[in-house]
Amino acid sequence: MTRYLLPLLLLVSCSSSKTNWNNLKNEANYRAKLIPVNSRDEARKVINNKVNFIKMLFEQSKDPYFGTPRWSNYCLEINKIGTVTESTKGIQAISVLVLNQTGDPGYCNDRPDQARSRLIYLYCDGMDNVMEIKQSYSKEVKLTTDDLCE
Amino acid sequence: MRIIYSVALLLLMTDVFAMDLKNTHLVNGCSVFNWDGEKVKSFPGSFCQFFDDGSFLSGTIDSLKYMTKDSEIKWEYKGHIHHQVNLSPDLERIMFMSSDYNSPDKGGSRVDQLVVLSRDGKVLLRQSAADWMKQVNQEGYTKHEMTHFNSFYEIPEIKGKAPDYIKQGNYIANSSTVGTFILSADLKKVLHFRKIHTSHKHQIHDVQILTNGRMIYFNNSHTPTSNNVYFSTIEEMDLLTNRIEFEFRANPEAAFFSRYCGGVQKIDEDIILFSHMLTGTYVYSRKMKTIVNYLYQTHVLDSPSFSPSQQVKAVDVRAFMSHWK
Repeated sequence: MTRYLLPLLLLVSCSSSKTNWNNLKNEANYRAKLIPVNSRDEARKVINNKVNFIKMLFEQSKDPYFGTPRWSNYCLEINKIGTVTESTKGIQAISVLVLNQTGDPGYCNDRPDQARSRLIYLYCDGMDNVMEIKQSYSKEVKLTTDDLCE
Repeated sequence: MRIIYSVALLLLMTDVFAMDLKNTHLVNGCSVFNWDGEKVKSFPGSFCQFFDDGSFLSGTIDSLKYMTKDSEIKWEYKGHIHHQVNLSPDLERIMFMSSDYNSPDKGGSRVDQLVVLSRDGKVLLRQSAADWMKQVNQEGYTKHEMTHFNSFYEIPEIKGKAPDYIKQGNYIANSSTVGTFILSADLKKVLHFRKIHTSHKHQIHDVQILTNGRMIYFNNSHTPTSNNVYFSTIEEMDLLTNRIEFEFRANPEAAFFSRYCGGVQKIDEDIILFSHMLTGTYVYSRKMKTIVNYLYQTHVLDSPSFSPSQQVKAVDVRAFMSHWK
């Protein structure tokens, strides 16, 4: 239990008025999964691998028979894959993606059970885990430039 | 009386389904569907194979990648991967088709390469189709494509009667319109060549040797009937007698016509699963002589844009998916 509480306590204690962590936590449909890591280097590798997976998922291709593109322009536009950024406090990547009911990416918002959501990978120094956070998208909370470890 | 028959048929269908396919999902390329037709999860790539430890193979027009359950790329084979990526019956070897282009801008042609890798990405076998074409005195498919291979499998242990060349460890590969090749275990020698048809419009897909020694395949396009109707069939051929021992043909015939793609999978002596390029996945009972399950969603939900599906297969991915929750 301590293992899971520590990163949460750390994040809360690190909070300042600039931090949007509390906004994240309090939003509807917030879900978090913890991926254990032993170091910042390992956290970087985990986050890079996760973001690369999403990039590869949305790689454009054309079927060889009719030439139909796999992903429409609309779909590629609404699925915004974040870049991995590092600060003195930690590593993060924030994407805005269409997720299905179980929180998986690879969709285009063309069914009622799919919704635009944020998918955040976050590691702050001192954590034992990378946090994979999924939550409903909201225009009011602008996170793209904020350092969540501040 | 009609209601009683309907209920009995439904119960029988449920029983057949429950016995043979209950632990499987449907895999279309790199997308996994459940039997309610819902897409469970998508993975990167166009052609995938999934392993129990959560790792998977992902093939694209640029390369074949092996990725761990943590999405780490362990190795990559550069090449134009097309049609399908398969595993040997013992899951130790990986088979796929790649292509070389001999200066296509200067009028050169496409020639396929067939490759066998170990699970750790080492090249075990690699052979150009041009060598086999010479052995069987074939010139090629078109000016721009000497070959257009669409399936490549290792032959499993044979438990029935079959010709000598149908032997465990040999390979079977099929090229559209050129024909089907039975290849030696080192891929160097063509042991048998079967030209299915000479018509340019005729092609077959997903040609496999079954454990009973017979050959099963998706026959895309028969020559048109007298009233200009095209149709496709699923066929199981006895290679000793050249007789078609089983055939699925729709009634009316034109109700099932998949011109360019198609997949077939024999689940057991009764059930055969096959997929049309556009209209979905079918489960057919040989005993009942009817389609017992049909899923349209495996195709329309695979890609937001409507495009052909190469093939759909039933795969037990329970262990694999447990790593991706």
